[in-house]
Amino acid sequence: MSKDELTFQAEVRQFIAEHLSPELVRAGKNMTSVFADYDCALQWHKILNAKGWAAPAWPVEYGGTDWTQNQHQIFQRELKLGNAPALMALGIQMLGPILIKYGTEQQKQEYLPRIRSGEDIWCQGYSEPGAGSDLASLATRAERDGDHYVVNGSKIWTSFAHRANKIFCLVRTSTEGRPQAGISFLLADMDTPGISLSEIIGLDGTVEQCQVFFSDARIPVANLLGEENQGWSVAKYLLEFERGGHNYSIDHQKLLAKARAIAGRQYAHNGVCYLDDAAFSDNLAALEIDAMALEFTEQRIKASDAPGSLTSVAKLAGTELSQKISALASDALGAHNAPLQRDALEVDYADEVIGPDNAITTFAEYINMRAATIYGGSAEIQRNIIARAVLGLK
Amino acid sequence: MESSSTGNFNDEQQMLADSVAKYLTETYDFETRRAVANGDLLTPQPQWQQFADMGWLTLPFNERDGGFNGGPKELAILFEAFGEHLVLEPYLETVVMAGTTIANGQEPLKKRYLDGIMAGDIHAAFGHGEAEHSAERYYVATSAVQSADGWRLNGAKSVVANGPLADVVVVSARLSGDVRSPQGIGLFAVERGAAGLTARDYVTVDGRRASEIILDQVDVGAEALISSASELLDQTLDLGCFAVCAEAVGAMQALLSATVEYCQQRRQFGQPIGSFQALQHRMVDMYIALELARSLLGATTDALANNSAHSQRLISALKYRVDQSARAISYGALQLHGGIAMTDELNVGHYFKRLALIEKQFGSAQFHLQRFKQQPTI
Repeated sequence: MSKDELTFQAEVRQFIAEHLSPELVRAGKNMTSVFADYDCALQWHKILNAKGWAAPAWPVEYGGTDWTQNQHQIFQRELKLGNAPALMALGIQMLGPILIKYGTEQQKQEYLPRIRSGEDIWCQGYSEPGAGSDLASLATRAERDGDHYVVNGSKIWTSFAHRANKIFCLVRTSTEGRPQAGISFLLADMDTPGISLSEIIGLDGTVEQCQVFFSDARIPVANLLGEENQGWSVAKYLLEFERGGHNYSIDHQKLLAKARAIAGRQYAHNGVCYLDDAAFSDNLAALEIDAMALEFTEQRIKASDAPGSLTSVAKLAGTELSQKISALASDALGAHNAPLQRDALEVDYADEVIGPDNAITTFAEYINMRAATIYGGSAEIQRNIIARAVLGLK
Repeated sequence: MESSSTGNFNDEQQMLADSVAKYLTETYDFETRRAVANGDLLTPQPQWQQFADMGWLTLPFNERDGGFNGGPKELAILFEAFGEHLVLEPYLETVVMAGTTIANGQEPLKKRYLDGIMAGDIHAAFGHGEAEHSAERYYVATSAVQSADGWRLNGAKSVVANGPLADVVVVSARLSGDVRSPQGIGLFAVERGAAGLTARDYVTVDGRRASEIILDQVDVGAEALISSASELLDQTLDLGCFAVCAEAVGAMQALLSATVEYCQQRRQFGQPIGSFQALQHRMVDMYIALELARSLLGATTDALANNSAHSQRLISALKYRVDQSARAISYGALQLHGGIAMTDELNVGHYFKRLALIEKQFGSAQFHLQRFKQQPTI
């Protein structure tokens, strides 16, 4: 790290020390998926925004920063390893870059400041019950009626739709030509008459996902992002952010630290602490090597002008490695995976936890991590992309 | 695709298999199970009495004691079906673990509990693992010291399955030797209501019930000592291990069937996703993983039935293989179902959770690998 980078790191650490309250740290520590406690995430969002750090990757003119890649990396790492709660990502990380690239001036003025301030929380309406991996077959219809689109259909796996006030979604505006050619990108208020939702209870017993229903929902044509029937290009640009914009290596560091903490307190069958057990520590070291390889891969992506092919590599290797690390942590925890302790994950939980106090997230995290190779382009789709686009296999 | 692990049933075994399958198919649908899982912590599972009425609770007990004299084959039949239907009822804890241990006790103890267990009136639990040492098979720091008219127990037991409902808990306690010594471990029957016994009860991630139990100067009578030989502990842990392996085979079969069915019905890119070779191969690998586990289950069942000297080696082979297969099959089932498998609504994820906890019981894969290596080859 250069002297400037060290100064920057110190500044970030100082900021975290001053502003990240114990309650927010608990929200960060208790995360069992990519989402943190909603209220805490919002609170932290506003603290970061006051400092000008809510959307650091955006261009300066829209309230971002002029940080170098390394600074972004340092910032993300300090926040994550400092147990800051993750922000609601869809507005900042996904829609923001799209608005900046495809939005009209009016759309930028209207939406970007409200994303940055945390006033608007966005959710993403892509998948449908009948269109998952085959996203281009989506069937939610948007029919033009004067200055409005009348939208009918349903979106599923809409993360945090129950807390969001806005939704960006892909809708079908034409059935002519290739399926990809008739898709448009629409922005809507969640309180638009005709939009409703049902919450989906996840395997860990909590609600993160929803199904969103459109029934003659009238959405202004002005809410079109990009041209009509060009939504697929817009979405593809966005998917690059979903796949390539994530620093898996920082996740891995946090997961590895948790696994080590558990392994440092539990004993293997042979009476040796897991961390000192030959078989376990070999497995851990092997995962650390993979984590290191992935970290260098991410550095190559950042240094490259055309990262294209490597982003799918990073997503595949990154998510599969996260799964392996969380499985190893769960292994070390042994019988103590059993207690269901949803209450203990609440930030205001004051009672004693059951079993070791450094492992209340472990089993939920292990379960939830199985979704990482499903969402944002499943592992199968990522392999197809690499086979076709990179290796040239048709 | 389906074939029994245990093969060659006699008439009685066939009847048992048929009646278990019929009963569970007709009455134990997933919504019924959900109601049990989400039910009150201290309310007994409503179907338990029916298990008793059908005579299942007498299965592993000796005819002299009023039992059915069932062997490992009968147990495997029952547990495969339990696994297939994700049965939550604490058969493992009450009957297999605590029940068969108590059956080794002296007459007064058997009289007090066995009839009640077989009738479905008495619930029981087996407390052995301790805090951060739960992976260590013989780690017992809980102590038993002889007193004027019996024993005084001190210590703590972790993740005692069925603890909340149990009327009696069979606990391991050290009579002599170092905390890690395989020798000198006794098994005691302790009333859940005994003075000095406190418990923290909770729901488990797979919809069952368990307790953290603390024994603080708990006095029990002389007859509470079921056995002072560690062999009974080993035998009981191995029987429990065998039972959950059979359960896992049933659960894996259910997961594979659900996955194949889903992939035939779910369409993407204009065709059933099961037509894609990458998915077909993954399902084939799941099938192979299942059949390898099933074969070892059959071989282990026979070894146990014949009191083979190789039983323990086979149990370790079976548990190791089951752990590997369970992971391959449950990961595959979740991945191929996609998002829907990550919901509470579909049963697929619940099989995954059950299998994940089975992996963590009765010895880790690493433990069984080591024990397998130490046993004489066949």
